[in-house]
Amino acid sequence: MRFQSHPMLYVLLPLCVLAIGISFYRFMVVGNYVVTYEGECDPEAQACFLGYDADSQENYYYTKIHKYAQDVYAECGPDITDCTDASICLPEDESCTVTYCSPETILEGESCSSIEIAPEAADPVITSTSTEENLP
Amino acid sequence: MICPLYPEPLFFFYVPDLPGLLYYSYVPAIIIALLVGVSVLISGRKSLLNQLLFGICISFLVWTACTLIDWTNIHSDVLLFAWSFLGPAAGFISIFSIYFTYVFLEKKDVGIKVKAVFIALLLPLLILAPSEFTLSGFNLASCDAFGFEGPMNTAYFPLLGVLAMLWILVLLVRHYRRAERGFRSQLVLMGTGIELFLFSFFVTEFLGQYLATIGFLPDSQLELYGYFGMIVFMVYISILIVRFKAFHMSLIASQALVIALLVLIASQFAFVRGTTNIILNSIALLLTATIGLVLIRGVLIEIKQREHIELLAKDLEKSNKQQIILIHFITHQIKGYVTKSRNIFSMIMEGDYGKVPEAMTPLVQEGFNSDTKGVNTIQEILNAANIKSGKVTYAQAPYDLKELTEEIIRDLKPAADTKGLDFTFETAGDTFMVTGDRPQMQNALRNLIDNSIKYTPSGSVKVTLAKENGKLHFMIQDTGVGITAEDMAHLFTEGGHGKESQKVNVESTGFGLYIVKNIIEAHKGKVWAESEGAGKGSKFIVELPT
Repeated sequence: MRFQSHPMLYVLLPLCVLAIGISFYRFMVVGNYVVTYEGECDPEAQACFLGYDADSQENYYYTKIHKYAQDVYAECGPDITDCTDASICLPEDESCTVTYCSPETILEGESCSSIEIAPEAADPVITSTSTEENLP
Repeated sequence: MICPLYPEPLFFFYVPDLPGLLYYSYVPAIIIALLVGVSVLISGRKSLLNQLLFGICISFLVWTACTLIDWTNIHSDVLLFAWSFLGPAAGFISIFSIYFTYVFLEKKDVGIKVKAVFIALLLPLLILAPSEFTLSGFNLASCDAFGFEGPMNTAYFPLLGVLAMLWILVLLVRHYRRAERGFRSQLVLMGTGIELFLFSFFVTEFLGQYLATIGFLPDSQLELYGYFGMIVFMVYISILIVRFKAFHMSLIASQALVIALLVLIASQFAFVRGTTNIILNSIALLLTATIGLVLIRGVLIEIKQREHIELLAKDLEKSNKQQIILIHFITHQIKGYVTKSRNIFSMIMEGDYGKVPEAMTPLVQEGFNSDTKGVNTIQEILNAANIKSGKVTYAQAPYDLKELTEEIIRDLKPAADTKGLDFTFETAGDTFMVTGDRPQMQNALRNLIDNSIKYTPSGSVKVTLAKENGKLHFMIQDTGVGITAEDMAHLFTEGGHGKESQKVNVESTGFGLYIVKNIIEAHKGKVWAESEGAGKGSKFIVELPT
């Protein structure tokens, strides 16, 4: 088969194989992508997003976490359920964001848990949610 | 990572909580695409059209398999890996559809420039498939990557779909105008099928996600309806296969396609829930089985008949070719013998071998006349065979038709005088210049006048030449045997003898008027005959451009 009569085959087939290989390496081997999920949140100490579990018919509280998949995998394995490290940013995390509920971060259809903080607390405005990056 | 809120699928793909429509739209589309694609490829591996249809089916299969994984799987790495190929798969569907339409319409491969455009359009999708321009992350809470899709997924491949629809539409419209009537039905079937497929595939996909994003619809389930477009396309392709024998599919492959439909409906038992649905599906299966069997028998008979007719046509064509070769061989040989004999008679008559005894002269003359007729008859058969095989070439040179007619009249006058006919030539004008092959035209006009003289036992033969409405009209009117309506129908065909004419001229080959018609038409003219019936004379008119 000559290149001139089958240029699509000669160009696109190697590229397909290459794309499959790189994609497999990125997503399946190294986990080079961001994951976002709901982290644990204490409504008495933090401004949490308010969620509703239809199965248990109860409210629950959460923060929004952004982390690299490879960091989460190293800290918790494939399942983040009951993994406390998944809900906080660790120093070794390449990139990590924990988003608390606030008027700036809340989206349509979401709601916040509203709490009062003790006057001796370092940050008096804890009812307004803050976004912390690389928290210890 | 595992989506913590979702259950693991059973048998890799099955999740009981997912909408049943997901499986109704995906599973039949995948099975039909696979069956048709593979059947078409097996029936003609070297045909580019078959390869491209297979390419469309495989790209669609990759798309649906990846989407099904995205709907059912809960592992973010598997999901993203599959998700990253939605764009390239959709891109291949678009480009293969355009390429397929080109080859279907043109019956040949596209040029290198068009291929370069196809490659250029697909390159970004493939190169950027593993990059953040396609996907950057994953939402474990909702178990999807909608918020992390890059421009390749949100804009590029949907636009490629729109481009494919428009491109194909332009191709179809352009070809429809110049297509033959028989091919137009195929063009409409294929065009409607592929446009419906692309429209339902890309537009419902885009609308489903867009309307869900703006909150108009609760979810993107609308996109699931888009996959029925593939079934519609495959049904159109099946009609093309059975009705027009497109894709050169064999009889077995056509039967397999019908059986596949039965298997498909039977497979729905795996998904239907509730007694009513099971009863309805059973009725549908029973009806389809009955109608399918009748259809298979019908298709079997039709295809067998068509194959038989095609075989006969091929045999006939072969036989015709052999016949022409045989005619050429025989007539050339015989013409050689008769011409030699005619020349010998001619030399004897001219006294080359001494004075011919008086008693022998009529005999020699008779031999000479007989051989002359023989040579003319053989030449006529040869001319007809040459015309039929397309071996005749016509010169293009100006000449005066009036002068040519006068020359023929002079030649044939003795024959008319012998029969006591009133043989006249009338014309109004000095010159009648035309462009064409003078000897061929002389042969045609001479044939017409000679015929009139032969088939007119008594009375007159009148030749006229005139200019009318910018055209030349050459007409021969006689008071001869005339032409019946039955004879008129095959007057200018090969061997088209008239019943009355055979009574008068038993030596006629029947090729004369066939040759005349071909010569006149080669000069962009027309020839026809008029007669009120047997015994009422006839009129032959030749119309030529000036």
